[in-house]
Amino acid sequence: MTEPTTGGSMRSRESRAAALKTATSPEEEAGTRVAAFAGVARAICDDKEKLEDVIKVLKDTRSPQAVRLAALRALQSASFSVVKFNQCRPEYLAALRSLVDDPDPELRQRVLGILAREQDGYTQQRLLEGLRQPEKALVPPEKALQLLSYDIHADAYPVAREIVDKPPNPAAKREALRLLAADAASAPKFEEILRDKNEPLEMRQLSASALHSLAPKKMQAYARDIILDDSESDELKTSSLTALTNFGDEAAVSEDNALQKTVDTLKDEASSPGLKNSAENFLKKYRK
Amino acid sequence: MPELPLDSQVSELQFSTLVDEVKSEPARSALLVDLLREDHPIYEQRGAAATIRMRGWALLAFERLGLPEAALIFVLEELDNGRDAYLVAAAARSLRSYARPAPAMAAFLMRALANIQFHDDLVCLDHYGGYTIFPGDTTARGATGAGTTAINQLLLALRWLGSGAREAVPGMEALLADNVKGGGALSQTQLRELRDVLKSLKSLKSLESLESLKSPESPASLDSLDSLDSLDSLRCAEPLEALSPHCCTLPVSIGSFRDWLTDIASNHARSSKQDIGSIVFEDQDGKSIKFDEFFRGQPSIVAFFYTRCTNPLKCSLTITKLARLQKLMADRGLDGQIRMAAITYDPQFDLAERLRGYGDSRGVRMDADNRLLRAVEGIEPMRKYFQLGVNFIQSLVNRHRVEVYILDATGSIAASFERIQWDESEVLGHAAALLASDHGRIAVPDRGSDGNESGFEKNSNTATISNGTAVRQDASASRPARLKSPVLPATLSILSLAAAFFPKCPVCWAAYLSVFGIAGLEQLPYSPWLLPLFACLMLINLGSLRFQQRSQHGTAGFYLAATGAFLIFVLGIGFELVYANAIGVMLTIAGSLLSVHASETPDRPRRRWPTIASHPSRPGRSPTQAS
Repeated sequence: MTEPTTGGSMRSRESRAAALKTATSPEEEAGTRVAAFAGVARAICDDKEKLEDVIKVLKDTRSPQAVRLAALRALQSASFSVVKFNQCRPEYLAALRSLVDDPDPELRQRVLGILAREQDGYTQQRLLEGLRQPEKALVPPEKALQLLSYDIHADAYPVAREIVDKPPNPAAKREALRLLAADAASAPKFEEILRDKNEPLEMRQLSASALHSLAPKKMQAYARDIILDDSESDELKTSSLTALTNFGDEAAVSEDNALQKTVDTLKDEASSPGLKNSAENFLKKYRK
Repeated sequence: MPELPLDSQVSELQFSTLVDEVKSEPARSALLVDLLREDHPIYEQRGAAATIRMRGWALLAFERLGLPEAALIFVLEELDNGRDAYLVAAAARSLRSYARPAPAMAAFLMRALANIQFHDDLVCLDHYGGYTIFPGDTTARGATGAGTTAINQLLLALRWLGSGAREAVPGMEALLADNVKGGGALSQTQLRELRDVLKSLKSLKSLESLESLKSPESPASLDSLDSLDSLDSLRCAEPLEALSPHCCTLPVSIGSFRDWLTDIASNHARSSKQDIGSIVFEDQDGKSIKFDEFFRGQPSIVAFFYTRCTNPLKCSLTITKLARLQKLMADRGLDGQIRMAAITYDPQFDLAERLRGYGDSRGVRMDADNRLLRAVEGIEPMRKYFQLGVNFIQSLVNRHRVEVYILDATGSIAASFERIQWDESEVLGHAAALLASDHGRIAVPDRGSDGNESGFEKNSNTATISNGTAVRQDASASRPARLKSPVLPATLSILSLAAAFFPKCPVCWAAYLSVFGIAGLEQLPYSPWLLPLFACLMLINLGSLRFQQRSQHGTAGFYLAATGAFLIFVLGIGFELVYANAIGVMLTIAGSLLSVHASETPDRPRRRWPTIASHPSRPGRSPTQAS
């Protein structure tokens, strides 16, 4: 790669190289190394040796966690700010794969996050394995589901459905529902949860949102039912009103006298300001 | 290993074992080719990553067996529009086992370099799975430290092409320039390799000088420069094959892809035309329309896609090209004469508003003749009818090919462009030719509903790579005039009537003469010597009916006429029974008319019309079978 030869650039390059040397030196203090890593992103791809030096720090389990995380940040920074990083990309990804079993959970989770965003098949395989066999889990189930949701093709829907039915914790169920929001076959499950008043509000709201994406006509019918139902929560009514206002079938909604009358009442009598506001917006659009 | 049903129940471990076994048995290489079909049951209900692992392993198995022509299209497809480093690397390595390197392959390799250079990865081609970790690390399970990259494999393939890569010199120079400016992704070692190949190609003056390109020194030096960047030392050390002066044509003829077509062809039932008619679509505006309503009456261009496709070289590009196609159609004044549709593979998710948004954002004009469609009924018949190159995990696509079809005015497939990027002008050219032919205008008879070619004339189908596009065209579309000719049925009908009404006895002559007497022909005597002529005419008539009945379901016409002939000759002329003559004449006329009627019935297959199964890109039809 041709490097600029102006004096300033040369100095800059030299200073980056010096910073990199400091950052990768085990003799230096951890704090000094962390600070040095902050400015080395552009130097990482100057040559293969420098990349390997940084990866070596990243992989060194004896190095302080802060230094290793700083090395990872420097690599991440280089990956999107340095044009010639593409030359290093294969080695970078391979190095990250080497770290998915790292004993440091924070580093492991960050590495898995980077790889998952790259839709890395190996990472998906290991995350799915962990969901099916918890003893092999690299991260908590809710985190694994979140990482798998970066790729709709990750084959995570079956295991997500299992988790919705038998959640290890509420967070895992929430993430499983979020992941399934792109799965058309899960629409009946979302209907079931939305109808079930015993489900936590958060799950029902997630289901409403998913249903709006997967089956908007059905969601419109449910939204109407929710608004007309006095026993429903204000939050869910607010979401339903917003959905009908912005995405409802204008002809049907504007002819729906029962709905309009109920919304009129909500505008005047609802205790939640959010619900009142949504009712006003609805009526502005649909009032005959 | 016991025989496994090759379906979704096969584990990846079983799959890799099977492939390992097959690659040591050249006789079973057809199975490997079959495993490259997207719609193979083995890929049902698998994630995209698993599908990639499996396809990659199948591709790599050809390295040992030698890449057969039937598998070449799959390799070229991966180079043309693949975005996964593992599959592209596997395809490039597999290509090097092909016996006949051809210059046309250089364009595919250059395209692959452009496609993959910003998505490259370190991959392992020696172990199932393909995932690679940093060399020397053994902590990550299921991955290996021995790796190569897609770019390395592509550069090796360019070197393998030898002088055949000369056509890629301008592309290589541009790639080199981009990288020197800092806009590329090739490492220093890869750039050195590119320069070296380029230098050898540019200095190539004779076949002998190719030896410098073939020498193993360059790749070996790559190894010594950087182990990470080694371009696969084992492969590099292999001496490259010299290209003979006659080597340099890509096998684009029908024969080149015949095996591929045959292998795909075997066990697919074809949906009947009636089933196709039952398909109901919803368009981008939420309007319902049946298959027959949209696809009958004029030719159509049909592409398949889905909005959640993550490969920009497939669905997104396909729809963008359709917009360009519309402009070309408008320029040529073909608006309204050729319909255009894009049908989603993912109808459950691709609701009307998503279709409209996807089309809008890619500049597609959507109106009554140009629609983006989702099948709401009859999805399976549609999949079978088009033999779509797609597979699913539940309703989500896990892998698909690029596929564009041209349908004639009956909704029957006339041509298809599959796997390789298609050219808009070329597709329009085919559609316009179809429009100009009878297929494009006249309601032609349906194809056979039984899904086979039994009793049908075989077509000489074509499969070519033209401008880098795999084209499979039903030969029938290129000869519509002959197919639609009304001359033959009319001749046969006249012949039948002539035979029936020919005067065969003194009574006949008396009757005719009484009529003709008005015209002053009463002096013409009955001549027994005309009997042989009459016999000949009758035999010709029977022969023609027999000939026709082969292409028809019924044989009643022939047997009626044969009975009539028997009555006339044996009872009428032999025993001089006047009533036998009369009955014979009636039976002959009835048989002839029945035969003519059968040949004109539109919903029955006729030997002159190609069947759906005879479509060259579809299972069930292939030139091999046809011969």
